[in-house]
Amino acid sequence: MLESLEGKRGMIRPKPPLPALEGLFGEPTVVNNVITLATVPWILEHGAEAYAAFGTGRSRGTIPVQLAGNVKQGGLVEVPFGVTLRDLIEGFGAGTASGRPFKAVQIGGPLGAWFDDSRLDTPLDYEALAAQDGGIVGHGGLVVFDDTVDMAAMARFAMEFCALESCGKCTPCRVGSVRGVELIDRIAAGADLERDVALLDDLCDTMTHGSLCALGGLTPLPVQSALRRYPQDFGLARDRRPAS
Amino acid sequence: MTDPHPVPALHEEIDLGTPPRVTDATVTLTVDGVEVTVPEGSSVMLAAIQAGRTVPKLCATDTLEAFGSCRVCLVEIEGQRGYPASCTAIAAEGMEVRTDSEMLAKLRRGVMELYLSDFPAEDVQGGWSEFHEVMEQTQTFGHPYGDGGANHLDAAVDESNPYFLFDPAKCIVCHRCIRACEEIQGTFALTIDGRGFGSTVAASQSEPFLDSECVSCGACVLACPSQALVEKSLYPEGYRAECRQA
Repeated sequence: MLESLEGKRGMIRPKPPLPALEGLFGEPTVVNNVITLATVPWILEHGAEAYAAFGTGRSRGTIPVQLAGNVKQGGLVEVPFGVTLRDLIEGFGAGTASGRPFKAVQIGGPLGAWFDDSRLDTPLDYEALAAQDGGIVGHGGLVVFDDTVDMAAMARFAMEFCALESCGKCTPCRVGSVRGVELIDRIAAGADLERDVALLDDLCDTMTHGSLCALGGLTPLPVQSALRRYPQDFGLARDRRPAS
Repeated sequence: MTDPHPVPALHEEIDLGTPPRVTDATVTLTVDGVEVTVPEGSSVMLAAIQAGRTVPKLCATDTLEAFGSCRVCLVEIEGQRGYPASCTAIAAEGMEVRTDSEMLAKLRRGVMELYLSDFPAEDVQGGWSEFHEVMEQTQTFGHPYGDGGANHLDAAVDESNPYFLFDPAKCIVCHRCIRACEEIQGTFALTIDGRGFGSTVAASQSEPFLDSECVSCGACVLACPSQALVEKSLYPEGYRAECRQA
């Protein structure tokens, strides 16, 4: 964003230096998202303690959740941290729009992990989500799918999204996302399933730990959580849990 | 009688990876247990190389500011999460750096496999570039992704310049040519066209090098770590004939 504001090619800057020390045109720059800015007036009016009274554990305050996908009543709801995923999907969202059984929800955004029914009682807070396969709160998006979704296709979409959005600066993201799409296509064809699944896991490790920014670094989250939680959609035995 | 024009002894050039900083303030850190003192503001990579360690690197060279794109110079720093690139990480007092571990070796191989999945297989052997040096350092000479994936192997070679050619198939998109054109020569003739996997080095508005604002200074050819930008004089019988079989 800072590069773009300076009129340059929109590419990620390595940190350090942090923008707060050396940001736009080399000057100290505070970068905040809209949620933060929108929260400030309420805190100024009611006080920090009143805001901190919302929430749970170390996740204090509220979060505007975007309920979307196959959900009867989608939209924005602002909830205190700590509300369970089930409350959000079955309560605020009133279940699936199709009326079919729930299968999966992606939490946090297109780079978020997938949660199945067995994990819907997880509270929406940073620590509780992180304890589940490294789930993230992200921007608070919840995208719901019923039992007709093919999770291998969703894993493919995550890699495709990364390939489309990649700025091309670092190699794990630039080349890795393209190889990821190709690998998931090969897995779908099923010729050498075990080898290709192991290779996909290896590629995800390289992207997670080797990427320059969060795009390449987090893309493996939806891919690997789909692989772990819905192995049957990849043609694997139901009880199979690929090594992390 | 002594030679009136003695030839000075040749010194092996050591690329410090990032430009040396000149300041009186110093920091002392350890790299793989070796204590080293460097000027404040120096990169972890420079400190590691000063400490006598070898860190694989592709997009880093000490004539250009750190860029952090190639991801083979990753290190571990005690107390820090993840695997920071040593070229963009700044050395700090008391820092404990590790340049070698099982995980770092695995990550570097993983990244090199991705590079090699879009690099001409016939050019893996017999090359003399920094890219080939990193293949040796990481012991990675191939990739597991199979043939038939997206690639740039059929991209046209630009032989318009009389002195050098550009083979996009061997380009690893490290931006060293672009940065050399900007930071060393100040010509700003080169850029990246496209984004993501479609990113390619372009001269001016995607023109042939000869028609572009390029002044044939050669800074980009010197900077290229993968023989993508290379002197024509090395191929007297023609590039295609001697190097890549069309």
